[in-house]
Amino acid sequence: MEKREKDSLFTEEIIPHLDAAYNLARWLARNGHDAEDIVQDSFARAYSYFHSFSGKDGKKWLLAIVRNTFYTWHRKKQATQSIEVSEELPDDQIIYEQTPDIELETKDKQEAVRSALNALPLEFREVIILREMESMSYKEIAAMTRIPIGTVMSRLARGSDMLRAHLSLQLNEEA
Amino acid sequence: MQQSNIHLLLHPYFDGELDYSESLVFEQHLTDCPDCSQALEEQRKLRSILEQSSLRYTAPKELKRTVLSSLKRNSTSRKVIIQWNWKIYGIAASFAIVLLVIWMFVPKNSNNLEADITNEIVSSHIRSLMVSHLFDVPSSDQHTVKPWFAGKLDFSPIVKDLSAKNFQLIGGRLDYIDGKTVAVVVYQYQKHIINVFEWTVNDNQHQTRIVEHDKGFNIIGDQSGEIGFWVVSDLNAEELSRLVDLLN
Repeated sequence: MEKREKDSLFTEEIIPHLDAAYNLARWLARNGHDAEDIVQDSFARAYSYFHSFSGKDGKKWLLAIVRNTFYTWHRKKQATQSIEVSEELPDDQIIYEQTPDIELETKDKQEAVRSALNALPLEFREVIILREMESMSYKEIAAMTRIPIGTVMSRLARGSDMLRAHLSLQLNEEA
Repeated sequence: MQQSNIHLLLHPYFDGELDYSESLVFEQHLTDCPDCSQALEEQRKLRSILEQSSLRYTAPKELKRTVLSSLKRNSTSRKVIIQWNWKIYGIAASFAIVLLVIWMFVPKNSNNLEADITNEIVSSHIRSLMVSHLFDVPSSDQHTVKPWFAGKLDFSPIVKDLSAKNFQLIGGRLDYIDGKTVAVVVYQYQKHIINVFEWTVNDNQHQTRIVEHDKGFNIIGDQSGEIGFWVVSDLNAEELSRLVDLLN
């Protein structure tokens, strides 16, 4: 591919998905600072591997890179951290178990969902973000995460059940 | 599917992942399972909240700018490589002639200007060592140092982890050279402190490498890329030149 052609194709197909890339990185890493680093790295990788882009669905292609970059970063971080603090609390985490009901009632529903999502273990949080925010099918999620489709299905089910359990108060209130 | 496991179809049913006959089986089950009906109803509410755009994060403006500018830089660095290959495989004499021509045509006052900058840089280097204002951000992590500069400069400085090449990143600071706010990235080679001054180079100011010696310090200027470097240290010129190669 001509360099100029590559640059313009990259600008057309990949750059527009910067927000989606940041959203995924932000939900996976659970803080803005790390998400920014991950997105920067991801774009550098995307640019250098752009020859492997099939030309179809730049967003999914980019998100797969963001996810890989995140896991590289995550493993490195875990290796340098002691086991006790391996799951660092996110910026805006509210530990739902400790939140009194009355507070939950007055709290913005979305904030409650946000913190419940953040509190989900990574493997559940990941599939729920891909399914609910990126509207990816089970098959697409399985392809991106290289997890068997049955596992994707059970993680989505368990993750949603956990979310619903944390949020049952809000959901029922609305009824 | 066994009746006892049929509730497992709830999520794939809700997500439209079941085929027609499976859907019918589950819908039949729904009519006489209040638990599943309620779960399905809750799942709908959950989705309506998750779909709301305010749960999505949007990339900060600064990040967009950084990504775009690093893409641009990527393009230029590729250009440099192409030129470099050409130089390697090309005729050495033509290279020498180009240098000679550049040397002949560099305006005299530019030399003075350069001398001024060199002076300023050496002074800044000495100052940084004397008053121990070596860094505003002491860190060996490029992902700490680089983001620290964000928003403080109108360009994104080059910060690299060169520890494998014996140049240890130790921090960064802002400095003021030649009327500009510049980035200074500090590396250490054994006991030698190296200040790398970085700023953007105007299109008409691109210059090849200049090596100078002043007050016992070696100074290398390299303005060939979009970001120009002035590297200063008491480290020998050869190693210092290696650092400039690694930064380019």
